Amino acid sequence: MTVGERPLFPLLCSSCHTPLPAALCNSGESICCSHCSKQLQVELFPAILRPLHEGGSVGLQVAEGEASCFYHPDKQAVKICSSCGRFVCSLCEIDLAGRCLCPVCLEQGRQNEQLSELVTKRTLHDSIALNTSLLPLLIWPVTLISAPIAFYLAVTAWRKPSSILPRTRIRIILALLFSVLQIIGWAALGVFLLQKWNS
Amino acid sequence: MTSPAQPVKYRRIARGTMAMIMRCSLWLGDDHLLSVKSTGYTEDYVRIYLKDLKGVIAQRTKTWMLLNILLGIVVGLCGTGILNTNDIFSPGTIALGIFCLPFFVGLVLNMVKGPTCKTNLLTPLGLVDIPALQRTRKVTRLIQELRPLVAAQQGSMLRSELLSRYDNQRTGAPSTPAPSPTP
Repeated sequence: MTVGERPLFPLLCSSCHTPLPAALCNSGESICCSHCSKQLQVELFPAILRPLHEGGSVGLQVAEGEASCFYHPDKQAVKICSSCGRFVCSLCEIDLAGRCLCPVCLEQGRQNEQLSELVTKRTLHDSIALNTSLLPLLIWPVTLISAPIAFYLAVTAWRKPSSILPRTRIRIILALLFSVLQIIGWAALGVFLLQKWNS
Repeated sequence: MTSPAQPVKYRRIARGTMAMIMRCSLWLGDDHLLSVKSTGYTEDYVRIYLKDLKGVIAQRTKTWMLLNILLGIVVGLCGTGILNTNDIFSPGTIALGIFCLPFFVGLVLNMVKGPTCKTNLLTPLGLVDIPALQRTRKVTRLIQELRPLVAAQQGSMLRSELLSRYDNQRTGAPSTPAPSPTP
């Protein structure tokens, strides 16, 4: 089967899904959909020429004297896992941000959250700690309970993985500061009330 | 055991809001785009690798025009009210001016930011919505920024050659063998 016979990615109007003429793309100008009259700006890149279902090769059979894949002994090794150093065939090699990984290392990295490229969700513990220390100030008696909780959250957030985006630790520092101030305030109030009670 | 990789350095390209409360942003890494949706307590990431990026489609929406009309009506009514008063420094006029100011600023900002749009990226898995890109001006700027980066990943190709090859392959017409993209 030639490349010309494989189905390509369809270029459709994102509103009415009518096929768009490719001749008007990449011009920097808006084009008008012939069906829904929506104005569209379309930029195509060379990857659009790749067929829709581009399957990978299953790997060559290993010959006498050649290195074989660790996971498929009958397949010829083509790469070395950059993490564990095992030989892997073309079926097992996984290219991740310029590194070649075997399936086992990839799974381990995903479970341990060591591969930031595979992270799809993160909890922002620093924001939770900061809001736990600040929001209860609206109903200040609640801070008697929330301040120690915010302090605990801020301390534990220090070592937990945060956003993969550039982010400082200022939220944790502020959460610690406000929660400590609230705890000191409550302690001072307690001492004051105790002294007054005794006198 | 997998060794931790070097953290990717990201640069923010655009940001916006979704449904008034969710924040969204688009970041550019070494070899991929990162679309982030944030609730303030959690962040969801979608990576679009430049080597797989097939294209960008931005569809103009009517939000810009509607906002201009709505804000223009409010500013126009307030302006008419202010101009029709005898004493422009009366407390009522000043109060009306203060009320009108945020709408006027909103109108100017909306006009300066330019037309709104809904942006999708074409990937091998289909269209990926990018809510952070809500203005056509930002989309144009992103495309200009992406062109050399995508060319470095996918190879450069002339516009005419790319479009003719795409049309030929799509229609099944025999295409002339073109040179493979230069890396």
